[in-house]
Amino acid sequence: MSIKLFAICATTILCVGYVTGEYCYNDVVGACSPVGGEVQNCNSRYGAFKGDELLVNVQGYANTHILRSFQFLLMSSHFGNFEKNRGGFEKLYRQLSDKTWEQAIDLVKFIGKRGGHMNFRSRKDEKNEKQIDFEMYELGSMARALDMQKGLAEEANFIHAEVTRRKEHDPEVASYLENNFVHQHSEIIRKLSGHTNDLKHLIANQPDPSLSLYLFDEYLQKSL
Amino acid sequence: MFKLSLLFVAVALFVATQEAHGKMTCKLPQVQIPDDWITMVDPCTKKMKEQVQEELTAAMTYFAMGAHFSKDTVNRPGFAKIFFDSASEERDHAIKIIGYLLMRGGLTKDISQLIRDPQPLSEAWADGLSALKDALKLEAHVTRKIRDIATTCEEPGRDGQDFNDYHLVDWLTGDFLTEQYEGQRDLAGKISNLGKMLEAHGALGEFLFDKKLLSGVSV
Repeated sequence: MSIKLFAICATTILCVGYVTGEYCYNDVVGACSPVGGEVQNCNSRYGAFKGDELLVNVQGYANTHILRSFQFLLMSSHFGNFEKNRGGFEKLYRQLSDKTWEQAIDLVKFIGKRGGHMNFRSRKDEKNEKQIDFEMYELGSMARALDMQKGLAEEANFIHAEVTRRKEHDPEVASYLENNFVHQHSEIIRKLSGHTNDLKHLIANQPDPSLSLYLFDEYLQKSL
Repeated sequence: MFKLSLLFVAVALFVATQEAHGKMTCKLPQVQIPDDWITMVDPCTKKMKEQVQEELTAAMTYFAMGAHFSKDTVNRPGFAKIFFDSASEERDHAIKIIGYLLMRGGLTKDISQLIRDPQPLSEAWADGLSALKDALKLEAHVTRKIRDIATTCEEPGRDGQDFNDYHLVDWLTGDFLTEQYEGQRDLAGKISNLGKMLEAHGALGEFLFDKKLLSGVSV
């Protein structure tokens, strides 16, 4: 009996010693022994998600999406009021708001998949951003949307660089960003840049751009 | 003479930049639009605008619930699914309210005050049941707020304004409250079913319940 007890004690001590290796199996062996214990290494954290640094960046990225989604929603609402009455612009910004909202949800699911948790307050240089004036005119709003989308694309590039070049190599994170973000960003940015330049050409050298804006808005509404 | 030439250069430069930038007319002039059709009055409009933030706070709280149950160590994909769906639903409610305000001639100014960085009310839950209970409390809160709007908009008699907003109240009670009451009943039913099982079969009960939620079966 005492030999058995000794053997159990010895294995437990051995296992506790092993825990420094951070293996789920060792945790389980420890927890299943009479001594008991936590199974804190039984999680899906590996690769770049082992540390907290990348997690904070991805959390921040999800929060930027939420912030942008609400900002696009305000822009959409502004163009939906009876004075502006630009159904096309309203629709365009509503779509961007929907898209960023869905992507925020997707990012949070991804964080969960890789063993992280979401922190809704972790946000990058939040203070630096100037208060946006949402009472915009057509061309100004398009320029603003273009800048916002570029910011989202740059943030994806930053995280991608972290997991490919700067920090721990993690191809899964890189591929996730590529498949779900970077290509879509380039599409949206190209489209917004096209719209901005079209608009600029349409209203340049015109004392009264009202008809151009009316037609462009109608085009937007039909094409979306 | 030197001064004069400097002035000349400055003027030339100024003209050049003006031409190079090709100044554009980007803003259109204001149009005089009769405003006697805009009949929503102040205390009522204010309540409606506040409701946008309320709905988005609810959306963010559901979002946080979805995030919590998506964690690998929590692993309740069924709960996560219904909470993420609820988050988007609450956001849709906020958009519907904005749409109504726009339809009635509102939101022509100060739009940035409409959404003020809504944050979730909580970010972690002990188990599925406690999240469902919080969800029910949250819905009850939102329902009270909607009733509150209806009360205010039926008699916004302050400041000499007197306008019973029949249409808004009808829209709120018809569209919004129906959905609220149905949603509340559904949550209460879920809490009841899960709660009964938890008494004797805690972990297994929640595990099975989660899979039911995931497959979209009504529970």
